[in-house]
Amino acid sequence: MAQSSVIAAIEIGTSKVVVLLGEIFGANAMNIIGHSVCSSKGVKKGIITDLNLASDCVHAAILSAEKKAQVQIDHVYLAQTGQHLQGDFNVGMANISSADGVISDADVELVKEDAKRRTLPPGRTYIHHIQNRFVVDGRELENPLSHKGSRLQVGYWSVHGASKFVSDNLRIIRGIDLEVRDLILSSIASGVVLLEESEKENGALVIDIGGGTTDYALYQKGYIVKTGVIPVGGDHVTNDLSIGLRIARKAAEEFKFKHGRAYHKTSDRDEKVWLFGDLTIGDRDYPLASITKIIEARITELFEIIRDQLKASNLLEPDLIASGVYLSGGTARLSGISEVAGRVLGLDARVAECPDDVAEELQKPEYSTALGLLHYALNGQDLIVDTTQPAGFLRRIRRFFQFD
Amino acid sequence: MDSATAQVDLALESSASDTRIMILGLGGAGVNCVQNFDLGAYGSVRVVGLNTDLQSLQQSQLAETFLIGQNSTHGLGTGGDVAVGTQAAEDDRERIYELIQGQDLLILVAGLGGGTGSAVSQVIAHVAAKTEATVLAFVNQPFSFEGPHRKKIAEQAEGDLRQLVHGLFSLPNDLLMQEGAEGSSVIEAFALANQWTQQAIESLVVLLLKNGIINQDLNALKAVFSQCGGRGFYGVGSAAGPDYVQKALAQLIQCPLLHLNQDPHDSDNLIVHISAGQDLALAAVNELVAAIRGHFGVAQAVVVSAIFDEHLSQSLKMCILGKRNLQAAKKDTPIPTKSVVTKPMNVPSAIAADPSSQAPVHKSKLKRKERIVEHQDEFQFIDRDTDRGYFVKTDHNEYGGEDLDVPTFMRKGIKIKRS
Repeated sequence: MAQSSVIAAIEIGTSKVVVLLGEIFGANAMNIIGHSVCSSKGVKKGIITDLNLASDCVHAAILSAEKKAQVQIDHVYLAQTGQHLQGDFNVGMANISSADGVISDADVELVKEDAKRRTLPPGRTYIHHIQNRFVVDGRELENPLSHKGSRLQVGYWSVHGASKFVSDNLRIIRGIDLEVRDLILSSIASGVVLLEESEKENGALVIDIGGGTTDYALYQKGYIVKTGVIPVGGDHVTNDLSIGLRIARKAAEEFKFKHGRAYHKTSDRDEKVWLFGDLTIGDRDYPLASITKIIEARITELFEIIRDQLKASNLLEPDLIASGVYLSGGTARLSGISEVAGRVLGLDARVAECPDDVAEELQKPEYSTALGLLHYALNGQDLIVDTTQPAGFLRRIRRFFQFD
Repeated sequence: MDSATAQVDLALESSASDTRIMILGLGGAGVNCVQNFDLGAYGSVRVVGLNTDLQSLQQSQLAETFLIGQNSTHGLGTGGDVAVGTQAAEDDRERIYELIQGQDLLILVAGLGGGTGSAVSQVIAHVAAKTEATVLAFVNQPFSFEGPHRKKIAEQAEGDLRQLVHGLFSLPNDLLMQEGAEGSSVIEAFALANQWTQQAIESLVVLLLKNGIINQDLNALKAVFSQCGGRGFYGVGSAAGPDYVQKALAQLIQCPLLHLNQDPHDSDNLIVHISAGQDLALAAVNELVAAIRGHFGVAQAVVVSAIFDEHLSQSLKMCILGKRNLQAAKKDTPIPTKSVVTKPMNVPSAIAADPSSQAPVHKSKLKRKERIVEHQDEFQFIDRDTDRGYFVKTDHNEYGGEDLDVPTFMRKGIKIKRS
């Protein structure tokens, strides 16, 4: 890659479509040369409900970013979310073939294949095979090559999704004649940009609370051990407020960030907040306690679901998640949200900060996924995701694009 | 103009009271709900309690009761088993047909989630399809704390029943948690649910049988509930004393029943019924209808009925009923066909609600009889994302037997004050 190439990171979110353009120089340098944000249509809870509407706004966002940066996109990295995404932990095993017990390339390939050979039910397709640490006769190793042993094991966190929804996403990008280089889970993308290597090593939980979904990824000892998608996000908070207070969605959305807090305090009982605050017709006051009670119920439940899912996999070990919880996504701007996350999960929690080497407007929590996609495109993929996956659905799709 | 309307002749017309209405309370909850109906003044209304449980029927104050499935359940109830309820009702299919035949309007009232209400309502709806009657159903969804099993039965029953009746109005009991005063008892909560259902049904009966300033008949109702399926909704509001018109309107707009997931905005058709004292000015009726029209975004097909009630003075009771057609809502492109506007069924209501043509309030019944109910073309309004019931189009969000799209505070019974 002698010349520079332009890649686009695209996140088709429930509330907005984010397009970031990055120009890659040499081996590992990138400039962010353009971005655009459009409010999303035809997407609910992370899933495309209306392909035409969604295509139109994604295309508009891509064109606007290209125009701003005066470049042509070469290929696209696309974020994936939605309840249909599920993961399994599969362990591969191989007996060392050579007589002297030294592990060779062939053994490593064999054990990797073994871990990934589980076939999926029809209609589902793998998105990621995320490799975990190798284990040689019970010893954990980063790289088993030329170590001695008799039995080699490796675990993979494999994420798969419904082919229908995945191909809907691909079709949108394909509709504008672009190649999708890779699909990346939103939570993984966020993790790539928000966490330092040391934090992944100590163990950290990244929770990206978007408009329609909440994506999380749990890192332990430097590896992703579990990811998950919960189809609840900021839209639900807004909807709850709108139903509970009987106000329009727009007003509810405004209440959420202007007066909302993720937990309820007894002193809220005496406080009133105004709908518009400008004494116009229809303006009226609401008890702050009602707003905070509604939000608290929803946000607490959301973290409880994550807690229960981690507990079910025996992964909620505070000692192994020493770096605690990192919150991102648009809903992370809700006041008091880290306190609730900390209380429910029993871990330290804070709202994650995007790196400060990007423009200020891109440092908001809602851009972490798109920034993560760029990071991933640049150098992340070697670090976390095994690229030697067998020719599967995505490979075929990719080939299809290239010959198109 | 408003003072002149008070002089409208209120002499009874006999033709209107020919509409035969039967209200059926099904199962324990249904019987409880209908037994307090005070509709004795309307001769052609029959209120019947149906149950598999003999004791419930004996304890009720209903004049007419109907024991279902005596051979299979021996009057002991179903024990919450839908299969038993279905069997009981199937055994009595013919008796049910005899009971309901010849009616113009059947109103089913049932609590879903148990054995009788969930099963019998469907069998009756099946049987009723063979008669000419328009069938409306008012059902209660069980509380979330009653457990996922009952919830599942109820949802299944509601889904099936929806396909069989012309209009289905669902009231989730969880909503009641929000309404009663802090620490109110279960009995008070159920009383409130019954009161809502009662007010809506009473409005329907009054609308059809009593004469007033703006009359409607069964055909107007049939026009709104012409096809099976779809989501019905209703809301009530009442007020008395100074400013009662504005207060009643505010109460209607705040009515919790209109703030469920099935959003009344952009609904296809709307019936607005107003009962008021003779001191209500026609201008006020016009104002109310215009406000409702504006608030709910219904561009056409508003059916207005306004009735004078001699017991009411300086006070007002209002009820709106309507239906969204689910098929129409799924369409991608708005097709506001011209034919809809010019359909005969729309003309009278459009005149009644049009501020520029209030004069011919009293219409000859001969003309009304000429009205033909035609199949109405589906139409849809432009998608207004901010006002739509937000998660309507998406899949259910099941987690641990609960639908996560339903507000958490409602599922957990956390009480929210609005003032």
